Amino acid sequence: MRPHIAVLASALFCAALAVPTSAEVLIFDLGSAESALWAGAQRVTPDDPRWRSPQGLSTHDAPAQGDPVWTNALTQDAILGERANGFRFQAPSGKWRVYALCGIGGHWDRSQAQYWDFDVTVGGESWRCQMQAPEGSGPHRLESHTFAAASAGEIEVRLTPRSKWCLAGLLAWQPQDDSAARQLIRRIEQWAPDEEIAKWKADVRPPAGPSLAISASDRKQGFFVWHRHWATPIYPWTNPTADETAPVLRVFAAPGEYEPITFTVRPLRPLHRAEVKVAALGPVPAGEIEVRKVRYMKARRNYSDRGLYRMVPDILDRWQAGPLPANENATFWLTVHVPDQAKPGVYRGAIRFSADGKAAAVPVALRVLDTRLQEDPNHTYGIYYEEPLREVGRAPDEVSRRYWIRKAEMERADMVAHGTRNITLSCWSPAADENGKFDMTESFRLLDAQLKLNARFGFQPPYMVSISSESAYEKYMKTGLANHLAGVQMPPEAFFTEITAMVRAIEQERKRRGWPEFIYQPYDEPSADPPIVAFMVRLFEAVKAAGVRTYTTAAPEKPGYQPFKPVVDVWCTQPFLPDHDTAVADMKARGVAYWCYPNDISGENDHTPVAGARMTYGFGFWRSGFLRLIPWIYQYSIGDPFNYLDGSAMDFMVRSEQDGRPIPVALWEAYREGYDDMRYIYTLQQAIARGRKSPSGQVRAEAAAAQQVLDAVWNAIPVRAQYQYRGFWSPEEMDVYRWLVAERLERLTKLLRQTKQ
Amino acid sequence: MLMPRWRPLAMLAALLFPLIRAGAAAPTDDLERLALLHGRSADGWQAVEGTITPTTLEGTPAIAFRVEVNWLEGEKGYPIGWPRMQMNLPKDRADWRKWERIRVKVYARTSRGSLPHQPLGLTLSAGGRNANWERDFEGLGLGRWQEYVFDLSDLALRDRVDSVGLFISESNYQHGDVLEFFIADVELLRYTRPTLISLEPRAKLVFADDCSLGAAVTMLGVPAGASAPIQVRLEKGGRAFAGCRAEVAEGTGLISLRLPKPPPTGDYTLVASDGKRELRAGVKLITSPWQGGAR
Repeated sequence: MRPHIAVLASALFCAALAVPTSAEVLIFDLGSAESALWAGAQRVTPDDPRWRSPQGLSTHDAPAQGDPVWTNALTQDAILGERANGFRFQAPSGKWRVYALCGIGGHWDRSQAQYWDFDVTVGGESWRCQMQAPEGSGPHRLESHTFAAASAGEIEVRLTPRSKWCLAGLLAWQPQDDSAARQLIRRIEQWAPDEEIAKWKADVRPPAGPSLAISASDRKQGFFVWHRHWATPIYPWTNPTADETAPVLRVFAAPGEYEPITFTVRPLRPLHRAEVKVAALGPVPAGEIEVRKVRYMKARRNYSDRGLYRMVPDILDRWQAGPLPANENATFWLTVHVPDQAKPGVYRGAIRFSADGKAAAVPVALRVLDTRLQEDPNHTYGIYYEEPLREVGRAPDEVSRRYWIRKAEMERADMVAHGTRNITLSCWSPAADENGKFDMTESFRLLDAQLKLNARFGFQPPYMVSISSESAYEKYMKTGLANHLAGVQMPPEAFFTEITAMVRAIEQERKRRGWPEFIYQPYDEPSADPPIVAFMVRLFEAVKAAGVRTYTTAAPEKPGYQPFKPVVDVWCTQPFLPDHDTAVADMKARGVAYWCYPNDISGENDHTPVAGARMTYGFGFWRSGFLRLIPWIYQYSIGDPFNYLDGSAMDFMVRSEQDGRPIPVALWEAYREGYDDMRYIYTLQQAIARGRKSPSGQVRAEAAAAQQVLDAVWNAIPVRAQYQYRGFWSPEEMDVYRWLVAERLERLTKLLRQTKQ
Repeated sequence: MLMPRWRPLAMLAALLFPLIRAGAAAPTDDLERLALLHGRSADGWQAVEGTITPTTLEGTPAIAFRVEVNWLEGEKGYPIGWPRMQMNLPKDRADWRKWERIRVKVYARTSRGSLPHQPLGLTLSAGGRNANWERDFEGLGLGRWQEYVFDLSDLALRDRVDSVGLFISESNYQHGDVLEFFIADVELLRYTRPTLISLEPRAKLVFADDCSLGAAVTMLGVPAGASAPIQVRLEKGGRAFAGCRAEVAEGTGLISLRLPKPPPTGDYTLVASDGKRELRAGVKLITSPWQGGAR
């Protein structure tokens, strides 16, 4: 859009948003002298005399019309500061409230490695604001806080940076204008203009089920508690059956294992302060029980689909206390981490839910198993990953630099706790210079940092590394490569020679530094059009000429990709296809490997197939014969990471708190439960193998019986190429099958231990 | 326009096969239908990257949808594309709110030895856009008539359905493959009175000391906002261990049967009845990890 059109559109948007406000609500719109002004606002520029100092102040003005976010006059611009400052304004004596809105508007054309970390202080109250700059499409965040203040004629908003600060707007009002201020804030924070929001309609709702008769005691209490399996989506309107109320929450787990416990509260009136309190549960200290609440999100029906949204249970926010709206289910998601040294047994305890003076104890039974889980070295849990460490070298200040390192560490710790042992890597390179050299200094620095950190967190090679074929292609063809290689032309032989040289240069460095094996992906998701396949075959040949293994995201069963067979070593497919026997036979015969990136259950299409995700990551993975799961992607943000309707496509999977701490989503927890299913299976397999060799007939008999159970579980798995919504075990059934394995594992382990003694 | 036709019981039983997981066939006299295609005429249907021809196959009138898979030519930008036959619905057929399911009767023939994992798809558009509603004809074999019934409850904008289409993805086939899909019927269905369609225990393996036994039941023909009663019981060798009456709304919903005390482990049958029709499903109760009364 041309600038003047953008300004006009922005002005129209501002006009649309302008609401009659009480004259008593002071509005300060911070930015440049030229940028749009919120109706009724006072313009605040860097040379405004109300700043303590004009030094180090600058502006950023970036109106945006949905690419990927929408801005309005207040949010499109901001004043940025590098040192402590204060903004003072006249306010009649008395009680005031001050709302501070921080953000940088639309397109950010400065350092993408910037991390704002600063305190906003009004009166005696300080609020810490932390915000990451958007890299390309996201994340774009607006953060806000409302302060209570007392004025003696003037109020000062003080800004104290750890790195830098940014402030988009301020509102100030006295208590009698609360309602007008709240209405105004709603308009300011509205994610898009009314006409854009009007384009989004609610999709068909999953049925609520019949309403439950509410007991008099529940009515008096103001809420009731119910439970349905954590992998079954519970919507704001879902009604429980009578037998799902007053639940006992039951879990079993091995030492060291994480296990979800969920319960749902249906408020029968607005609850102003709802609290969840946990005490130690047997050997599990209270500090090892994480309390979160499921956040409903408006989600698209599909990745980039527009116009219809579904309200879906998705994000698991940390929860301490807060209000709950009436008649909307609130599901609390607790994650219990059983200590490594926990003694086996059945332990009982309770979770205390209280709200507005009323309380309910939700009983919990935890069985700690007398066995320890092992990881299958032949089944790796990986994930695609956007690397925070990439920003470390570009960080404009030490605070930002430390943030990116901390984010990378926290995310790896989170991955490890969920079973992830591998991430994807990339090695970007410009085309070779006139001397045939590749300048990959920065890429090697990043790879070195990544691999060192990965080793620290126990990640396991080999790593898939994508390379920048497009830079060499552009050099020879004077044009770039389109999505899925649409319209690609066969380049001259020199292009392929250069690709071989590029891979050789990476390999040389890899060997020099003692890095583990890389498997090379020269291009992601090529289409099956014959000219594209012909180009890709030549590209794979060029990569293989460097003596390495190759990787592709293509479907091996599709006829169009058959020419890849001689030149691809690792096939990464969306469904578990080919079937188990074909995959295993092919891997044995040709030394290839089959990996899976199950987009249908990792948030690209829908955020609700949680049971399908667990089945995919656990029993389904085992039954498939595939060797690695590598879903796309740990975190991906377009526009506001907490708004799935803005931008070109949805955001997924893990979200982040302001300080970079990961916020899980239900699908991510299903990944861990699938990983645990696989660990139960593998640990039993190992026990059986040991039992078979035992001199004790009793142990050998127990091992044989365990094998029968394992075979029965294998045979009971409804084999599917994709486990998404239906046609496989229910979540409850998955628990029972896990128990069948666990029970045999406990018995066999105990016997093996006794025999050893 | 409604065109109710009454079919024999056996025909309906076959029709319901993909959805009925337990029990006998549903009665026929409560079913209303609207034909979008019947084999005698291809009126209103058109083919893209394929041909459609009225014919008769094994005595059944059908429309032959023929595709010669061509990876080199096709629609602009998509040489490996999506040949399809589709019907743009006239306005008087655009409102599908009263329809519960869509049924397609199909027969496949091909020059290849077998059909791929996703041989043929059914797609709808609604409200001037792709409705994001697609179903695969999973398990479609060669050389025999097969009937598929798909639930429409999750179709958005169902008051303004624009088109219905059957398509293949050429990427699932080899260049040069010749495919023939014979379509005998495409019709919309709805029950005119509450009818129990399916009973699916939440788990076929259950911990014996669970307080209740959950099951998904599908009821069709229930007016919007209303519910219909069903009787549910758990039995073994003719002896009922637990039972209840449940109210069920249109579509698929959860019911739960309270188990007053843990029954002995073993094989049981869960039985549900709408008064006219009884469905049964097996469940196995096993010892739980919390044996000892953590209920």
